[in-house]
Amino acid sequence: MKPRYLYQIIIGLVLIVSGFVVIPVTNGESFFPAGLEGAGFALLVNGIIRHRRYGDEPDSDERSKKIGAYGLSYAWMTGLLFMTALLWLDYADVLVLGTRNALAASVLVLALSAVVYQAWLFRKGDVGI
Amino acid sequence: MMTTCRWKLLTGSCMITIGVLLLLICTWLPQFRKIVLLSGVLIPMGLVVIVLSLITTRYGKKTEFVEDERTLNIRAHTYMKAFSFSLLVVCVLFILVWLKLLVIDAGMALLVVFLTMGLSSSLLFWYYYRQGDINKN
Repeated sequence: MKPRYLYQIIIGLVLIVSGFVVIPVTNGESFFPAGLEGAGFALLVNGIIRHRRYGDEPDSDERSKKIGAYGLSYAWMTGLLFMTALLWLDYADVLVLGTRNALAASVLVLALSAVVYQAWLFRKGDVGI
Repeated sequence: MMTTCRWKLLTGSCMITIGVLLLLICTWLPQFRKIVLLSGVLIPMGLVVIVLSLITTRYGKKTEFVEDERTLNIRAHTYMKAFSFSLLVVCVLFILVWLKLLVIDAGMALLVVFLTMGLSSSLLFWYYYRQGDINKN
């Protein structure tokens, strides 16, 4: 097993256990344990899946790096357009959003569009220039 | 494949069309004055884009700038890093607003993110272009 995957699994387990330990301390009134457990679970699953998929083989090559870079570039552009539209709609009072909602929508659009573009480019095989 | 000039003409036409449409429906929307102001910005901007692209095509010099593998790599890596930085800024702003450590309205928050995205991409592109190529490590 690659040390990186091992660290991910160990840190994930530690975070999950910490989350369970923190629950009685906060009397279940804080989001903090849920955050710890969520992050720990994500790290644990990521480490296990990557180890099963790649083992000791290299997990990225020139093509996947290129696809990653292009996917994030497209996501950046999408996020910029989305935020411009949101800014104008907010200015014109067509869509009135709170600060938290506007920022949450921006995070969602940025993150989801990156995942969608990368999945699409991986399915396509390569970046068509 | 559409040329840059055609893209500019299309963008300009779209801006004018949206501006005119907004003018037509502005009475149905709230904030009548702001919609008129938005149309007043969009229509001249569209006209400027169309006129400038036509002038450049007719009288502009043919540039020798060719988009090669290196430039495309630099651009992709620039936007990749700018994306990561912008996402980080949005997340930090969100947490600060959520914990009520920062009180800011939605327009201002979006403007901060918008400027961060623009500035970070410009600065990174300038840095990588000066460096010559992307350091793969």
